Amino acid sequence: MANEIGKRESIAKIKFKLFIKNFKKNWALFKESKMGMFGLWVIVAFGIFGALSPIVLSFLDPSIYDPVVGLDSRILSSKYITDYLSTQNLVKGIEIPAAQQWVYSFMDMGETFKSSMETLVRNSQHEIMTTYAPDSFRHFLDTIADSYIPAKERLYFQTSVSELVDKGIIKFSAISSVKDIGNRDKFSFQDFSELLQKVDHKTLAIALSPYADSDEVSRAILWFRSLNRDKQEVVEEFNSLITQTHSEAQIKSAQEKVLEVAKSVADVSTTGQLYVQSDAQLSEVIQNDTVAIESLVFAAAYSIIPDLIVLSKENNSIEQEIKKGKFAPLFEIAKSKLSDLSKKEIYEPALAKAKRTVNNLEKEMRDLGLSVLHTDTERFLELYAGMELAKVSVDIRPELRAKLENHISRYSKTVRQGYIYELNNIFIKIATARSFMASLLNNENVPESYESLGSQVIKVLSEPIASLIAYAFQGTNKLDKVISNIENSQLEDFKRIDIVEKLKSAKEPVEAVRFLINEAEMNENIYLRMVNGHKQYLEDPSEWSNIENIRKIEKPQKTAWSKDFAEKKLVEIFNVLSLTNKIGVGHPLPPSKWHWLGTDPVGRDILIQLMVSTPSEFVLGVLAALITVVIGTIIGTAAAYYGGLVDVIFMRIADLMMLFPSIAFLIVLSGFMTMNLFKLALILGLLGGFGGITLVLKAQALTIKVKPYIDAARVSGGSHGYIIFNHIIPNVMPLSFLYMMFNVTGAVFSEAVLSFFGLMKVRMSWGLMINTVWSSGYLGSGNIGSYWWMWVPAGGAITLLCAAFYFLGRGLEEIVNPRLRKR
Amino acid sequence: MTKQVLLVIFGIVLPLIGVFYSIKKGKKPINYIFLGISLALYYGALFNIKYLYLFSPRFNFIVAPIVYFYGFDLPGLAKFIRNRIAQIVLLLVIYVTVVFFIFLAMPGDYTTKFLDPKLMRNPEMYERIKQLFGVEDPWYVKYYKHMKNFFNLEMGISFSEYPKRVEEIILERLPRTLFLFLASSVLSFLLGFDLGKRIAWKRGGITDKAATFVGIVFWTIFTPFYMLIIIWLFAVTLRWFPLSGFVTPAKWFNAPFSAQDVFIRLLWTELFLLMAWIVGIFISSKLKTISSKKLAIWFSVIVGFIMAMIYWVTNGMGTYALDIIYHLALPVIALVTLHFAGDMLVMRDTMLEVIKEDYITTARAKGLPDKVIRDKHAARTALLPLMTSFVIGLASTVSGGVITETMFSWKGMGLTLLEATTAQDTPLAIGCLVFTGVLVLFAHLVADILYALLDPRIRY
Repeated sequence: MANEIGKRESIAKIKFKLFIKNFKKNWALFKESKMGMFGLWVIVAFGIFGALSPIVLSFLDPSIYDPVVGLDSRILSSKYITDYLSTQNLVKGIEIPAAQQWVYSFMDMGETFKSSMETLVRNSQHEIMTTYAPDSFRHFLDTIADSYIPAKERLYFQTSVSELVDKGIIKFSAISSVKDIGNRDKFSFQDFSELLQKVDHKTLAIALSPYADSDEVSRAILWFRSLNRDKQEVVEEFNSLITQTHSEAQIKSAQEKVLEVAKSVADVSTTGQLYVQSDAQLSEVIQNDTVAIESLVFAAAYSIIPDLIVLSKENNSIEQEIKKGKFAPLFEIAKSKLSDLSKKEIYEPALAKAKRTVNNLEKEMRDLGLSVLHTDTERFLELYAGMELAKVSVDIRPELRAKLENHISRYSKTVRQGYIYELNNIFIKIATARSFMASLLNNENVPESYESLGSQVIKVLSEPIASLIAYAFQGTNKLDKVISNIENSQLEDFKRIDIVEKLKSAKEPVEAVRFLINEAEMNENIYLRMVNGHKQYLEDPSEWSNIENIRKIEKPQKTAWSKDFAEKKLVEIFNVLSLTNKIGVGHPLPPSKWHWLGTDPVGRDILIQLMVSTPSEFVLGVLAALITVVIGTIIGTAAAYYGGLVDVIFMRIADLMMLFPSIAFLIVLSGFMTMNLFKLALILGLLGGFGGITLVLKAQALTIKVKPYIDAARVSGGSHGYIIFNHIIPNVMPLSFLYMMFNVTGAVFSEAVLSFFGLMKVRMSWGLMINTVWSSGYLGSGNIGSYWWMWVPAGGAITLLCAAFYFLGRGLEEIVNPRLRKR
Repeated sequence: MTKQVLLVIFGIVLPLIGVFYSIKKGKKPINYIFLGISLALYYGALFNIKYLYLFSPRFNFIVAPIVYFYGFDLPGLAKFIRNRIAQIVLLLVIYVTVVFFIFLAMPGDYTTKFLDPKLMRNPEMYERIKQLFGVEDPWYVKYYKHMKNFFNLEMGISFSEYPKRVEEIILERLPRTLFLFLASSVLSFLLGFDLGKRIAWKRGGITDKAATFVGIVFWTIFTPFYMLIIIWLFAVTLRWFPLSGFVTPAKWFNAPFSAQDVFIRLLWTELFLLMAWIVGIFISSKLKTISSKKLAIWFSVIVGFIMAMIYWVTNGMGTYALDIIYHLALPVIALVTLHFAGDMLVMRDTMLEVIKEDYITTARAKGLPDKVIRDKHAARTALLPLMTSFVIGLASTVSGGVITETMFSWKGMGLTLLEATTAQDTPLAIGCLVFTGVLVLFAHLVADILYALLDPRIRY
């Protein structure tokens, strides 16, 4: 010690030592207060809980667990099927998997057959349902629209085609036969009058005579009549020529002449549209060779090019390759379609979408047996175009399909490869589906027999899954739950007694179930019949033999049925349906091992929401309290030190603030301007800082102001500011700190109330969580208790955090205010 | 004829009495100046002399008597009350001003909020409407209009409840809030006072700990959360009370009178019972023994209650009133349980301080009964800090009504304010905010006067 006397310790060091000493003393005092310690521990626990949120979020899939936009649409256990599905979704889940196979089974039959199947569904409804139930079979119609691949793909194809026609990449002549002269979409009245100036009306009549009964010709006659109103005899001659029969050669030469002129006329004036939306339209385009095959390939490849351009921002070679290759003309058009990619908020989602799309495509190609990466852009695009063309042309007549393939093979071998592989894949799908239907209906002659079987076809579709459910849940109350769900349906439309009967009577899963769990083999004959039907029209079917070599699928292992296995597969099937939005899980879900505190009505995880909100509550509470205390302390001490007018003004303001109906006030403020956390913290801080806290702090400062050391400081020349900040405020600080704790409680409470009323603009907060539940009507009626997990955690968290800061304040009070300690 | 009589009474007789009294009492010259100002304001309002208005004639009628009473010296309590009323009126003006400036600072105006966008596309029409609404007036013109309209009680027409005037809506909703506020604050105050003194007297016991714990839980709980629990417990599980609402509509189909009529009568009944209780307290303060005091209070309350019952049984509205009370019960229970906790904790803390005072020891040494010491010596002193905390909490109690009213769909001022805010209905929101403030100020005035009655030190 002796050698230290010589050294002079710095003021800061002494202050620090004093602080440590005081802190130790106060901590010992604080530890005795049970309330204070409880509050402190709760706050620490909340702090850890909130700090963990970024770590936890990084481990979880954001599409499912995101606190704001996440949605868990998975079906994870059989409890979901028995307890959480509405009747509608349950019935859909039972019938849609089979219905999809049913739709696949007639996928190559054309759209006329498709619409006859739609009629079949509508008719079956009257036979199966005894009551008036207009919606009960809607999901079959939806499945037809959704799973009938060619029609769906043609819609996208049509968009691409139209766009390219607009841009002039696809050039075609609208007029492909003489008949089109009367088609108003392709040939206008002006065109017609122009045509008549160049062609003799007799030649025209002869050319049109083979189609005398069609709508187009009758329109042509009408137009002709209106053009020659004053020449009655010409019109009569024209009409009679059309109705007469003429020799082949005469007709042919007349048609050639008319076509030539008509094409030249139409090219000039009409901006025609190329229709490929229905199978008939596409057939017509292929049959008449309306467009060059290159145009079709372009249209097929076009839809993926924007995504590739987005990807080329990362990998420049993709762009170069497109520009060099066959698809160069499409590049500029596709690029002009994209939004401004230099903006980050546009680029990032676009990139994510492009990556997802391209990865899915690569996977699809790999599954087909074509290994290609998108970096090999030219080949990738050609294969993709081939696949697209295969998808749109499945249900046209085999000879036309073959004609298309012949054209393609002349154009490019790679495109043809894509075409063949995809077509083959679809054939397999169809063959499998037909085998499935054959096994269900005990009728080999599908799909031709559907129309004669009638509603029988629809009736059996519920069989596979119903039998699987019955087997998996047999002897447990789960089966009773499923049955009572359907029997007691609120919606008459889904009270499906036929399904209930199947559920009750079934013992073993029917054989067709194997198809739904990928354990069945398709009927080779059906497949070969389709392939051969296609091959017979091909010029060079040798390519197809490669495929047959590749298609050496291993025979699937058949697992013996057991309840666990059946249940597992059942959940898988329902999960796939739910993930593809065919059915929806009924959120909110009660706590489970995937969601420890359940989900809210929108399907977001409550625990994650609770976690993510915690840091912002802390920030808000502490910030508001800090502002309050800083303002309150400065004003309080200043009022005490200066007295007089300053004192009067600030004390009257404090009186006014204490009379303010603050909640009502905050409601109005946040209703008429957008209120975020920082604004709220500022407003709360100002309201509190000028309010009651100044009275208390002023009283404390007054007791210090009269202490001798203040006089001493003044005598030794300390300025007012120096005395306030160095002598008075440090002595008021403990009390300010104490009030800060109480103010945190108030701030958290106010925020919770405001966001409970839905007036705060925050991503997520505890109050908002209750607001979500409140405004979606789950707390309005008598089921508050049954949905406890949606409001108890959030309400409890607010209460607990508020209480913790209050307790901490009470604990500190015993240090600051020694009078309390003696009790 | 009657008009002339009234004019004579209010224009000549009443001022003359005032002037005579004032001159007789007044001594200093400043007194006569106040008298002059007061008379000027009074006659300015009475004879519509525009230049003597403060915002509006009605406000003059409020200000003139206050200024008049500054004209001479008043004894202690009366002086306090006069000063307090003057302060409250000043605060009212400031409060309405603050509300005005807040709405002035908000983005957007009337025309952008509720006008048909089609109208806005026609520039001439838009300009005209802007002129009609006075959108482009300078702020002081707007401020003058605002104050004038407020003191004339012309708050405009609500946007969201269109043809209704704002003051009509407030007149309908204010009693509901007042009823809830009165019932809950009086009951919770009494409950908190009584329990607080009891648990402090038996401090350290299990009752004390349990009551303190319950008190802290109620004190810190998140109000909507607590109300959800109450609803779940009493309305869903036990089915004792309805979930929410003001009346059961099915019961009122054939009612020959409106629910509002019945409700206003209920409010008067409540005030009457309150008066009966206060009268009881007044009588009891003249009596000596504790048992006689209790008897007096109970007697007057029970008599009041019986009179009220007779009134309700005979006027034929009894069953309908019961329906309203049935709906009222749950919000009142929720509010009472929430608010008594704070009062109880304050009461307990101050009682613990008071018990250590010397005069309590003296009373004990005198051999006074325990109950007398507790009620007459300790609790009477501890009542004052409790009263202070009650007064401080008034504003938050009134504005906290928004939460209660929302949770129970009780259509009072709070819920109206919230709905007006969410519907961006500016006139109604201003009206509700201002009248919530008026309610707070008025309650504050009453509480202050009561406080002065209880604490002789206050009467300077």
